[in-house]
Amino acid sequence: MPAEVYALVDVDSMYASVERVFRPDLRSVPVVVLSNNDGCAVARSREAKALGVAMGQPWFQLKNNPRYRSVVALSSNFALYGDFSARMLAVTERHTPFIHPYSIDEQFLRLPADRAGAIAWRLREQIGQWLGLPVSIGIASTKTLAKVATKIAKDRREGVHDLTAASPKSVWQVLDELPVGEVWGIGSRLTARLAGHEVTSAGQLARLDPGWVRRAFTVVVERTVRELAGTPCLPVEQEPSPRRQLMHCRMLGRPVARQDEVADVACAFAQRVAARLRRYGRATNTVCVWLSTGGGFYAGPALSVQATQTLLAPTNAVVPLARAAARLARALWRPGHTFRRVGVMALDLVAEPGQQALWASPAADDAVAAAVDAITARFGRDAIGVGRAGFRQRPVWAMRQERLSPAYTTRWDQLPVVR
Amino acid sequence: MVPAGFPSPAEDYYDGPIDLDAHLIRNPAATFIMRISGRSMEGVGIHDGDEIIVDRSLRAGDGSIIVAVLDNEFTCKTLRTDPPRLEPANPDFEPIPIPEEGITVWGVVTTVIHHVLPGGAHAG
Repeated sequence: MPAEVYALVDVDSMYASVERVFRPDLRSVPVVVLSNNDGCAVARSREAKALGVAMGQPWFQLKNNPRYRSVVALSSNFALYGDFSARMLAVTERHTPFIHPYSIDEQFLRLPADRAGAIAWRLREQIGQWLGLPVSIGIASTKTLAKVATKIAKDRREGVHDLTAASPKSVWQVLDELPVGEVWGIGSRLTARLAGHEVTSAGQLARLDPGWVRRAFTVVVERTVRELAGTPCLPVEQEPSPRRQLMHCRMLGRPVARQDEVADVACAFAQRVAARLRRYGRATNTVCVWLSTGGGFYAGPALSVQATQTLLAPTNAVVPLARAAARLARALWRPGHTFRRVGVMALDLVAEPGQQALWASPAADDAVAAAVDAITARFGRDAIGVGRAGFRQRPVWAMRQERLSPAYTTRWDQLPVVR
Repeated sequence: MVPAGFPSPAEDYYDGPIDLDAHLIRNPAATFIMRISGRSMEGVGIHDGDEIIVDRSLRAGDGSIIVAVLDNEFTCKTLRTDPPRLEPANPDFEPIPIPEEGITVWGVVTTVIHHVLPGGAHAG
């Protein structure tokens, strides 16, 4: 057995679960969280899935169908989800310095093989009690297999599933029963191509000759084959991209303590995020920045904080994203701390806007933003806006968030009320 | 497994302004701030409109002031174990017996923030 294994910590129905922390009345109610504009379901609680609510199902279909009468729908509250994601990181940082946050609700950890199970159970208990979030944890010798293990932990409601504790025979059985399309990084197009070679299960894929796979497909698929067979070979940069957020979160090669250094790092990371957004034809409405001193394994005062900013309009341009990230990092920075982990996350991804040229000048952007802020602070949110947002009448396409929960953890005026 | 990290002079010699967060919050990941509504805990200095600091990582015992979930709402009371009940700190309110199946302890209250300047520190 290798000295180290991978664990994947995955929050069960993250958005719905976070909403429930402050809404005990929603505990056993089917909950869906809607995309911005309240358009369609982007997250579903277990109960909502059981009712047959589909991922991406438009809200108008749900709300007029008596079958879904019991469903409670909420707008996406990214500031709240980002806060809980950072809290989760702070908890895992107590157990290992080797953490790779993969998306808002998933973190890969590297753990010592002999204690991985015990740490996973402890972590699950802490995240459950401290944050109120249910998580499933999969343990395996590679990240791709850890994804499989997490799926098993979720499907069987086991909490933690450790594939390294299973016999090779039962691991192969698991892989043989898993449709190839459910393997991490195998999308619908690859699934179809693999079917042409009569490869329909993860087990069949894992048994292919890696050299042949590299020639017939790509080196990326070859890595997947090797990972399924138990050889870790997936560098962070080559991981399949999560669909709903993009994150660039790294341990720094050299820790930083100065405010301008922290801002520089966030700025650089935001540019990586922007580049990936453009590659996938996506844009973001919401930027989230994490700063952490690295957790209990390091000397000095500990701090793990995050902040979220909603942008005027979705973008994948470097300048506005980098500027927002740098500003958030500056605001989060505290003197006397040495920061070792920085993350920039694009939440709330939307299709790339068709045209972006209107507000392209950075200097003008700043002046406009400052003027808009000053005017709205004095005369209210609808007093002025950029472009057609300036219409006093709320335009029909303005972001609809009629079902938005309060900013329970980030605004003094929206704290949860206790009687 | 003790990564040595990198030495930083900032860690050794930093002496900055008083940090209220560090003073009041032992476990930031598990700590939430909530707002009190009502007068049931006035006897222990928790007043209507006060902010309370709630740590979910602490274990509640007899005498702990807790936030519990009661009828799907949050309520702040003192936990008493014999007999099991939620005790208000105001003679106008009755103790609430804890049913056999138990209740959910949401978190343990560690601190009350009570603003004495009308409107709080930012007033005027």
